[in-house]
Amino acid sequence: MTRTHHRPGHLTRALTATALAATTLAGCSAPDRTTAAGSEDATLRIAAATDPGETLNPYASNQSPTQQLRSALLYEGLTRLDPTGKVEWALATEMTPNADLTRWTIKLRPDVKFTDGTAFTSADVVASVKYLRDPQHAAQGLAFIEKIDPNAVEAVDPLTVRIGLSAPFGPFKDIWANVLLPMTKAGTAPEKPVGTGPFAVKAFTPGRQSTVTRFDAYWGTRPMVGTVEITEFQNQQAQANALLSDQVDIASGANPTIARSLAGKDGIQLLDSKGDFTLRIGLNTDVAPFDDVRVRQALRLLVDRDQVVANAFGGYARVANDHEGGTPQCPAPGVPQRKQDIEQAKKLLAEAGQPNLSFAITTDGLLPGMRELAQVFAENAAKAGVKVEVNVVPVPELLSKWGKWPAFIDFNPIPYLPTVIGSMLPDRVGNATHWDNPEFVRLADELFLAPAAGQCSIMNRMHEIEYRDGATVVPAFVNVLMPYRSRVRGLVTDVNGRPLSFLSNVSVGS
Amino acid sequence: MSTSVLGRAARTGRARLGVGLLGVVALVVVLGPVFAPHPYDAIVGPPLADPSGAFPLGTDILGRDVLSRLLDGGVNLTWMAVLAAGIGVVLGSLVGLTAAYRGGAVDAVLMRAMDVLLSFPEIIFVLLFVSMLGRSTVLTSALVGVAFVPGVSRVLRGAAIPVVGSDYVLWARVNGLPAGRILLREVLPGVTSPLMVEAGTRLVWAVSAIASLSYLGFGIAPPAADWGLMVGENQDGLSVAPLPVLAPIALILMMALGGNLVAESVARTVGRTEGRV
Repeated sequence: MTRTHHRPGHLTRALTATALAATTLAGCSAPDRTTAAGSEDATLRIAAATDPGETLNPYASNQSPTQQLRSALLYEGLTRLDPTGKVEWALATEMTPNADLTRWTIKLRPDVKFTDGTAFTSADVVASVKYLRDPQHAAQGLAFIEKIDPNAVEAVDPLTVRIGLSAPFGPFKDIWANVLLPMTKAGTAPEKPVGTGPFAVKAFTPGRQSTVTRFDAYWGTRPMVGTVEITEFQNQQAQANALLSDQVDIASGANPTIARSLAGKDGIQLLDSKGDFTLRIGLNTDVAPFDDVRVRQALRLLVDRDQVVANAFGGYARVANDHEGGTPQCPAPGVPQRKQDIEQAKKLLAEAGQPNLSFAITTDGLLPGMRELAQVFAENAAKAGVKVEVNVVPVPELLSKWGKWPAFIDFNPIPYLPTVIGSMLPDRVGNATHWDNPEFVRLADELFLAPAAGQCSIMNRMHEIEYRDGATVVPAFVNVLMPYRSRVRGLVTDVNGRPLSFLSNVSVGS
Repeated sequence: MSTSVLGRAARTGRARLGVGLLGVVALVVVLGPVFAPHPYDAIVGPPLADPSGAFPLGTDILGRDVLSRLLDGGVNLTWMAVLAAGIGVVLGSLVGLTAAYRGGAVDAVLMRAMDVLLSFPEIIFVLLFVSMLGRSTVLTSALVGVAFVPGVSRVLRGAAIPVVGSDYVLWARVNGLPAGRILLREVLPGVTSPLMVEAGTRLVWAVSAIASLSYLGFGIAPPAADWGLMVGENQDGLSVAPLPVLAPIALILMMALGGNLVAESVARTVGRTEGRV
């Protein structure tokens, strides 16, 4: 991931940003709205991780988990992801390209109001896109829209925007679903940003608590709770304690051990979002011996993936195959599942002239399972005589030497397309492995021009290259766990690990 | 001599209990690694398994045998605590005795410098340097030792001032003996009792400081087995599996309590006899 994405990922995992979807999911157990009438003004209390540096600005760089969680309740993008990972329309209703995919015309949703009561129009979109695109603002979402030509963003009429690009780009709709690219009222960011979301800020104390209340003129499905209160806690155990003592209704961050210890408790249930969230070991291809693909493959062959799932993640994970996920809409790529093979690994290491390989894996241990993954890997590697040390450093140290660590634990919470743009192509800040595969780059360019129907086959070919040549050991897809009190109804699991984005059917009983 | 102080102290029930506790911990530290049924870092079962025949104390958060880690985990803590206490007592004595002997400006400068150092809580002091210099067991022990210097130097300076003023030291000074020799040969023997108490107390403090640092993740690095680290690693599972947390705590407690009881009884004996030998 990019350095900038590093923290958002932390966020997503630890807290889950809320994307304000008003989705009504077919098949989800939405409570009967009439019986929930008594809870119209109910408050949903969410425990989140402490972030003393947070602001209300959704375009800030290095946003913390907590900040994203709250911003997502307040702001919306042109498109959004539903809980199955499908991109759907939000503030836009249509995007049409010209013939060579270098100019896009966006139709905006009519009758949308900002939470201050004013109308949402094309001027606001132009202002938001220009703000995001200006490198001086160092917006976290900038990496995803660098192809936009800032001088070619114009309002055609109050509900139409035209955006010119510096290079052809097809999956335009997908990009705007990113939680880092919301639309705000022109001239309000960064100090007092106003969004179109289903909630508006009522009270905000950085590092402590924020309270948001329902915006009754919201264009989409009206939320069933009147207030959402986000309270910040120092660690996940404190979140769990707050949940146990009924100070909060949901703990938005819980590691597998905490989830397990809460599981049997009276009145507490577990929201277990299975998705494509990866925790992986990055190998810096600028540094010997990781520049040798045989060494990288050997290390991949050393991992006991079942043990990683069972012991590092307490079973709340599923085995992965050394390539990213984030393509729930596509069939699985046709590559065989890689399994632990100590002999083959030894053979590859001997061929590469590294029979006594020894190195350190650096991690800040911030996300549940990071340190555990490193330790399970170290134990697995010892079986082939590879000596692995686990180097736990503070978060600022990890970030300050980002891109320089020879081996490190990284994570990726976002769908495949933005993953490619943000952290897999060469010369991206997010690409801390400095992996540069010409064939992969060529396929990425092909992907950016492909019609929607052709994307899956290209992405699967890209997965194959990751599997054959990639610079990350991806042993597991990890679930996002959120214990909650059973009086909260209507929560849905989310394939992108952001279940608190989907609050419209959530109610709080007594 | 001070051996008789030790002898008298050892006859108290308090000291015997202390020695007994230390003895048990010493056995675990020394012989433990030999009897550990599994390698300390081997993943041998499911995480946080209940105690069973195969795993008498259950497994930890990663599925490693708690008993094996416990038996293997005292060595680092022990040598680090001894090293830290040693550094603290040696450097502290040096500063304290020098200040007492020289007096005047040297005394004032040294003691004010110690006051500055004393104003940092020891854990914060260590964290400051560890976060700048990186983590290493020797560095951590040395830093904990340095953090003890102000306390030790103040006690020893206080104890040494009457000795420095005594006739035999004056005699030695008048005869022009070198200062180092006077301090070592004439002053130091006069402060052995407070020195012993100080050494014992600092050892106990070093145990708790180093265990705390490992617990916080700034001491011994995973996947090493260490009692402080084990508490930190397994605390999230406390309500499901208490043993991986409670067992190392019990051993740290025995070590600290045992050392404390011994030091305490020596101090009391010294106090009763007013340091006379």
